[in-house]
Amino acid sequence: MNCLEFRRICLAEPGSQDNDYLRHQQECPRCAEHAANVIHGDKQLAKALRIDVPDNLASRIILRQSIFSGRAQRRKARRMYALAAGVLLAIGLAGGWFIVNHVPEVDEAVIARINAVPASRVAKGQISNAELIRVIRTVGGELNGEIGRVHYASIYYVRENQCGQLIVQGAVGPVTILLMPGVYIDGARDLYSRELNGIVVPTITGSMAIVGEPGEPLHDMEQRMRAAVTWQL
Amino acid sequence: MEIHEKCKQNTAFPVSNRVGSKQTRFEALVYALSADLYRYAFWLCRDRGHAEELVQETFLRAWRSLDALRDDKAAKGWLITILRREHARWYERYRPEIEHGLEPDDLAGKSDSVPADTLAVRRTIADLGAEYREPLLLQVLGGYTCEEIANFLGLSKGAVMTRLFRARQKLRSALESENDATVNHQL
Repeated sequence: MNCLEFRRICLAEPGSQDNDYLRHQQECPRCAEHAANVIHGDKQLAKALRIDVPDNLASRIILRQSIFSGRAQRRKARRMYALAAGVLLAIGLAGGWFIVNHVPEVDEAVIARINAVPASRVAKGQISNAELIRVIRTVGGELNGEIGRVHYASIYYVRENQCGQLIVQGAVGPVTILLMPGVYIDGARDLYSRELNGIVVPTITGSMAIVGEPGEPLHDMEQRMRAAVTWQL
Repeated sequence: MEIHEKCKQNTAFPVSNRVGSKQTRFEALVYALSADLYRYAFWLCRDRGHAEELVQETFLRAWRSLDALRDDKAAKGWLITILRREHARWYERYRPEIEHGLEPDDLAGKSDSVPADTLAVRRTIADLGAEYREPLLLQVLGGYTCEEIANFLGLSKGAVMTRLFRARQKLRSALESENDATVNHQL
C-alpha cells in the first residue's frame, strides 16, 4: 500500500483494521501522523455530534409505550369480549335451531318403523286373536278388551328394547300403533313429522305411538288401547 | 481508533437477559439507547422536536415487534433501521415544511457553554448534504464499519467509502475557511 492509498482509506475509515493499512501506518511516520490527525478530528466531530438529549427522554418514551400498551390491551380485551359474545350468540342460535328443528330420537324410531312397514302395505287381512295376545304379551301387556280389527302385529327392536307394532282399522283408514316399553317420553305430544299424522303418548312401562291417516281421531284410538291393554310393571 | 472502539462497545451492549419480561427488556433498551438514537435522529432531521417524535415512534414500533429481535447485540442497528424508515416516511409526507435552516438554539441545545469551535463543527455538519452526513453519523456516532453502513444505506462498500472520504474533505475545507474568516475578522 502506498501513501496515497493509505490516506484515501484513512479519510474513509480511520479505524480500519485492514492488515496492509495497519502495516503502512507502522512503517510510514508521515502517514501515521496523518491518521492521528484524522482520528483527532473525529474525536472533535464525535464531541460536536453529542448534542444534549432532552431531560427524561427515556421516561417519556416508556410512558408513551405504557399508554399505548394499555390501549392495546383494552382493545384486545374488547376484541376478546366481542369474540366471546359472538361465540355465545352462535351457540344460542345453534341451540335454538336444534330445539326448533331437532327430531327426537323416539320420533325418528317411529318414523323409521312406519316407513319400514307402511300400514297401506299390510292392512289387508286380519290376524288371529291368539297372535295379537302373543305380541302384546311379548312387550309386557295383557289384552283385556276389544281393540277392533287388527290387520298386522309383529315384534321389532328399538335399542335392544322389544317393541310391538299393530296395524288396526281406524275410522278413516288403517292406524299404526307402536308399543314401546322402556322408551320413555316426558309427556303426550304430536309426532315430529310433516308428512305423518301421529301422536306419542306415555304408558306406565314406556310409550306408545299412534299414527293414522289425516283426520283420523288418534286420541279415540289411544283411549281404546288404554282400555283394552293393561301393562305389567 | 479509540473513539471507534468505544462506539463499538456501545453498539454491542447487553440490552437485557433473554429470560426477562418483554417490558423489562424494552425498558433496558430505552435506557441504553434512547440518547444515541435521539442524537442520530436530530442529525438526520435537524430539528429537536421532530427528533424526539421520531425516537418516540421508533421505540413504539420496536415495542410492537420486540419479539422479532432475536439478538440483543443487534438492537442498536435494528432501532436505527426503524428510525431511518420512520424518517423517510415522515420526509415523504411533510417534505415542503422541513426545508428550513437550523436554528442556533437547535445547535447549542440547553447547555449555555458550548465552545465556539464545537458550534462551528455542528454548523458545518448540519450544512453537509444528507448523503455525506448520514454515513459519517453512522461511523462516528454509531461506530459502524463501512460494510455495516453499506448494509444500512443499501449502498456498496466502495460508495460508502467514497462518501465518507468526501464528507471529511468537505468538513475539513469548511472548517478551514471558517477559521480563516475568523482570523481575518480578528485582524
